[in-house]
Amino acid sequence: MKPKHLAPMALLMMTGHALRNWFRWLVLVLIVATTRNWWNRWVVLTILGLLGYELIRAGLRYWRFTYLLAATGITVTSGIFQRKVRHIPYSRVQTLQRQQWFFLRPFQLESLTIETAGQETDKGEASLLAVPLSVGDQIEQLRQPDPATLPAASPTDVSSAPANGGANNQADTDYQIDSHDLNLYALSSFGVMPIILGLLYLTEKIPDNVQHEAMSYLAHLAVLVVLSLVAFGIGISLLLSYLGIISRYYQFELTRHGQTLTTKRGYFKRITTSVKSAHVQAIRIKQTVLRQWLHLATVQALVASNAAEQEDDADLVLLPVLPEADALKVMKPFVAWLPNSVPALDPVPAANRWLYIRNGILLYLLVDAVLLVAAWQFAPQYLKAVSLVAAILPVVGFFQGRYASRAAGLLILSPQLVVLQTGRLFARQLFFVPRPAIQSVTLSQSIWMRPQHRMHLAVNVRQGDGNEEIEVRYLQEATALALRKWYLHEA
Amino acid sequence: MAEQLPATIKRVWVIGALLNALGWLALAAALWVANSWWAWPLWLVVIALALAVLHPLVHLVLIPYRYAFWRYQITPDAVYLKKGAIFRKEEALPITRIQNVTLEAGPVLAHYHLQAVSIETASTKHEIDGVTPAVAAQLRDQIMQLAMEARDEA
Repeated sequence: MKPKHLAPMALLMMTGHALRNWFRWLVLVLIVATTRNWWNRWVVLTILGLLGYELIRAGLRYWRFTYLLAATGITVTSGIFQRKVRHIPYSRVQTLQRQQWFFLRPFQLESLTIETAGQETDKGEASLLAVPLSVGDQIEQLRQPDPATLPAASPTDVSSAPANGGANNQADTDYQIDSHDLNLYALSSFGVMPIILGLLYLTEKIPDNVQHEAMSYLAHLAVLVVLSLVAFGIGISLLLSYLGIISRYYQFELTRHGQTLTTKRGYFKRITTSVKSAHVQAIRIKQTVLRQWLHLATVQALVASNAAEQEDDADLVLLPVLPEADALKVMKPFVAWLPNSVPALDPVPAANRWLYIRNGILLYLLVDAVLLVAAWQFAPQYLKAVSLVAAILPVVGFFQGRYASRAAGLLILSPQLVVLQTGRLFARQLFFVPRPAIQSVTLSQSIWMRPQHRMHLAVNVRQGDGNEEIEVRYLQEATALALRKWYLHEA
Repeated sequence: MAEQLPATIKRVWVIGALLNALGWLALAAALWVANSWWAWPLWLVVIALALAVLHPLVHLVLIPYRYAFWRYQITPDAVYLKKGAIFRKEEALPITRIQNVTLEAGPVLAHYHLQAVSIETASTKHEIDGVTPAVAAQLRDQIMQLAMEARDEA
């Protein structure tokens, strides 16, 4: 077989990438040159030269980049002067991410990111910018017959999976998002906050004289008008955030082919990610307070690879949103070791709950102290406003602690599975962790907790290249010790 | 059954506390310079100086307790680490999860003929502050041997 070049669209994309890096400098130069009357032929020549250089470089890179799908693996050859040849055996492909920008769709092309195991993040990757869809299908097919290795947590999965080599496109299990739920999800997103903060930041950046004029003008307007302006701003940011989420999870789809889980999502950029079920370390069901009220939940997988690095929280989203009651029912066909329903957890003893609240309040009092000292020292004119915030924060701390104390709990469901729940920052997270995926367990206890037999418990699970610590605080000592015993007792 | 760290580790900790003091003093010096050049408030210097005394002092006072409570234990199945005097912490990991074991010694540890052991799983790192080289090598061999056996059985 002959090594192939990428599709010509890749040349455009490479050029685009190169130009994007120069873009802001170019804009800056254009602005400066125009305002200061710098225009002369040298500026023009330099800009043209740079553009030409980037174009030629992109062309060379394109020309020197080839890939080959051989019988045993993928070979990628790259580099203009220093040639780099990478061989990736199919069996070592840990995740295959397929991304299709909208402009690639008419040409039946897509971008592929091939990731291998190993903690050397960038080196383990090969990316093919634009190749025909058949290439991805072929890789997908060739890497299929590989016995699962890592945690032997899904033995039932193997038996229930029909022995298809991934050759046909018939999925074993399929899920598609409900547009009504997606709507609710986008509406209940907290993504609005950063946008509002961004707007505030921008108003800070507006030059003083402009601001003054605007302020004196505003002062003459009725309060109502100001309020409606604010409402308008918030409305716009809500809309942006809403559209952002919709386009992100547009036509979300989760499928299982034998041992491979595949998600597809996105409008402008259709992203397809597949991971082997064996690399799923734990399943997390996440709900913010807002979504708890709406009875909506998000299901994520903690995966031992970088597949999800572009996702929220670096976790692979398996189900962006669905009614809370259906979460496990829908998920079970995809991840066989999950229970059928959410079990009732052993909560933190009622006598220990006030500690969560105390800690929440204390934490915010500390923040208060820092804020007040800073304001008093550096910005006395804001002292009043800061004091107001400082008065509210401990109340937030109270509710945050109360929320966390009510969410926290755990249950040993079977010799192979534990369920833990935490409530950080007004978001409830329910974890299903198979025993083989737990890397270590840490118990901690201060000397003040000892007489009351209270104990913190932390379970460590691999997530991406890092660690996810799932901590349940102020448990009864016996509960924490029982979990450690369960964990260390080898069957 | 559980092993205690070698007694010389206390001296290593003392040196660590003193180095800590040096760090705070350096910060105090920097703040003092900032005070004289850019009129930063003087109390920042005072705070840094106070910390330069308090932080190492707390460390030093706690060293006997820290030493008294530090234990490690390696059974055929698992590694247990217990540390902390006021905030007690117990780490437990099965031998089967161990990915690698690293022995390390900076100049201070090396001076006291000690080595720090760090045991890594796929996602966490567990450290034993210092053991004698003989124990360190023995630990490494024992853990690697056990890990290998455990893997063979699996």
